Amino acid sequence: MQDLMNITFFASIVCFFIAAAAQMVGLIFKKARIAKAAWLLTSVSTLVLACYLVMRGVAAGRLPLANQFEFATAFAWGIAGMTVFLHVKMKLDWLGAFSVPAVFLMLSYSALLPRDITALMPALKSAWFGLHIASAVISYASFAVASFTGLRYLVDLKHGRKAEEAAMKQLDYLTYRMIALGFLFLTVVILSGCIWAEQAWSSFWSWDPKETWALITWIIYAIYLHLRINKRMAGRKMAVFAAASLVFVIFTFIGVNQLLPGLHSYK
Amino acid sequence: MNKCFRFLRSMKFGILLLVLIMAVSFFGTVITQGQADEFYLANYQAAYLILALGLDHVYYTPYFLGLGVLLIGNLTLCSLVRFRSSFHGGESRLAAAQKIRTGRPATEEQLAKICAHLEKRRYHRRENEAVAVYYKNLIGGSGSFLVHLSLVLILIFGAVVIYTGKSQVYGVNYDAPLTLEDGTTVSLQDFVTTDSEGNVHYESTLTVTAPDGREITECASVNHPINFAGKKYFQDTYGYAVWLTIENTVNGAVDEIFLTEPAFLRTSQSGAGIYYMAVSTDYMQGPDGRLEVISDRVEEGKEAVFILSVMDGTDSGMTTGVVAQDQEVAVEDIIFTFRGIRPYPGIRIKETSRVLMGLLYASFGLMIAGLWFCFFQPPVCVTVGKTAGKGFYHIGGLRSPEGLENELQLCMEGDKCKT
Repeated sequence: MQDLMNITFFASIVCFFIAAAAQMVGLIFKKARIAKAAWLLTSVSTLVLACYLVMRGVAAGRLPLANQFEFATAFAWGIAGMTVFLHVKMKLDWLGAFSVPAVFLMLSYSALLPRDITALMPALKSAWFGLHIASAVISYASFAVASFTGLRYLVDLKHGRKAEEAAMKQLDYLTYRMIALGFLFLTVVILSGCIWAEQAWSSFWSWDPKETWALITWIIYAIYLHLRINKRMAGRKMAVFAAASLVFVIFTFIGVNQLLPGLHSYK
Repeated sequence: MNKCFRFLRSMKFGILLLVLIMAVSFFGTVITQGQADEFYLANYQAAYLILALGLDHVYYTPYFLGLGVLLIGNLTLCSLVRFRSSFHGGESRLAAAQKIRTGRPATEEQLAKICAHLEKRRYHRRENEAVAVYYKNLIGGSGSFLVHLSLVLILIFGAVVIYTGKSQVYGVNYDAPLTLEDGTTVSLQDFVTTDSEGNVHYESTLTVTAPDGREITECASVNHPINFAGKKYFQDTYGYAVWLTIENTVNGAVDEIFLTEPAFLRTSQSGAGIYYMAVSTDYMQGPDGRLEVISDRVEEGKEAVFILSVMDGTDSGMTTGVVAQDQEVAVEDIIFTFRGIRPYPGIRIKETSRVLMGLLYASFGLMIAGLWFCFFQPPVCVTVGKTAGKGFYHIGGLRSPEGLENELQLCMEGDKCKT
């Protein structure tokens, strides 16, 4: 089982690497066949990674979201899954060229982490475990996709595609929708974390670095949403905002665990 | 005055406060919190600045709490202003939509496509002599109000829970029940640090007796506190107690006690007895049988040695040494036998109003519902009609109408409406 899992995991990394290369070639050289093959490979890779996560979950007897490796892998899968979903639903052919390389990078990062299956720490044995961490995966993946759509908006703007107003507006709107989705789930993460912390540590907020950075990320996106909804700001500035805000998500996920140890240091 | 009020309830002020809270919180994560002044003086170049600004306990400084209070004020004013429009906005939006007579131009065929598309999307329809209004999610307009209100409630209830709740950790041992100020007693029946499969699992079996005589015996483990008679009992920490038996050779009585810290056990009025100092499982035994402690590490499942002094009651009669587990130490008529170490739990006992906690959690639910309404159920009214023989449609009510605009644009352009 362990060997099969390792093979599946590394196979998915290789598949995503090839898919990333194909996605970029397809986009840059506008080769429809390559782009089609790239999407097929991306879908297959996402499926392979899903199989790996299921196998790991079965082997561990719990959701595979208990440590940095498992979360990074699930995060990568979340981005890939959301990318495939948006491609199918909205025919966003270009999205893969942005998100699949990011998935490959995230999986490469997770490959550097210890992959041993360990028993859950006492603090993680809770009914809130699934909701809290699965929401974080959805939230982070949504923010990542929003960042890519924001980047695409900026690329289009730089290449003078401003004339395609409807397409640009749709891109801008998609960025907003992804951030709204991510924000909703980040709120679920924070609030479910509060209830869980009250049960585990008797205090629903401890100003632990992870909590504080999750709050900082929440504030950043709250500001984005206020500017977008109330001030009706859109276009370049908001695209830069959406793209740059991913730094906070990444820091909350990786930076805090590496640099600011606290209650959430489940390495 | 009016200008000041407007600023206090403005989004600009709200965002400014959020940015300041974020900045202060950032310092709280990079500067170690809650240490003694000496720690900062030894570890930080800007120690004096840190201490002067209270960055060593930044989340409890008056300026941080002040920012929280201002944010509550801003959100409250913002919610009050939104209250009317949120709950009465639905009908007025609809009424306003029925009065609209201009919008984006569309042919009759395109209007028919739009109407069919909106009906397919389960929009409600209301019409007057001039226009038809397709609408849905009118209640969704309250989303923004609910989010702001819930945030105010979370901040208020959260602060009250934190500042009125009483919480303290008590070491509970096997030999003596813990008695709280109000007369509640807590007795430890058992404590384990691993489960049946050998995985780490901290669980205390406690018997709690309330002042009114009600009693409960339950297990408290991490994530599963005991909730009884207005108090919550959390599995918090654990330590190792030294377990020893004391036998009186005169009357044969045997007593069992657990020590969690250094203690002097007197055998008579003369001052004789033993002074227990420390325990360790990290030791070595020399060829002559002498025990030597290497470090103060204590590990469960290993044989322990105990550092103690034996006093015979005379001024010069004190011998300090290391004794092994189960080795007997006799002083006068008393025999002390150190049986080993036994883990004991630190139980956090917390008293918080259940009503307050319920209100706090209800506010959490309100926030999620508010966000759902705000982002995914926005009120929308599409007015479709003709003015001077020319068709038009107008999208109203949405905070971000681009999605629907694109949808209707695609619907008009294509033979088939894309959703």
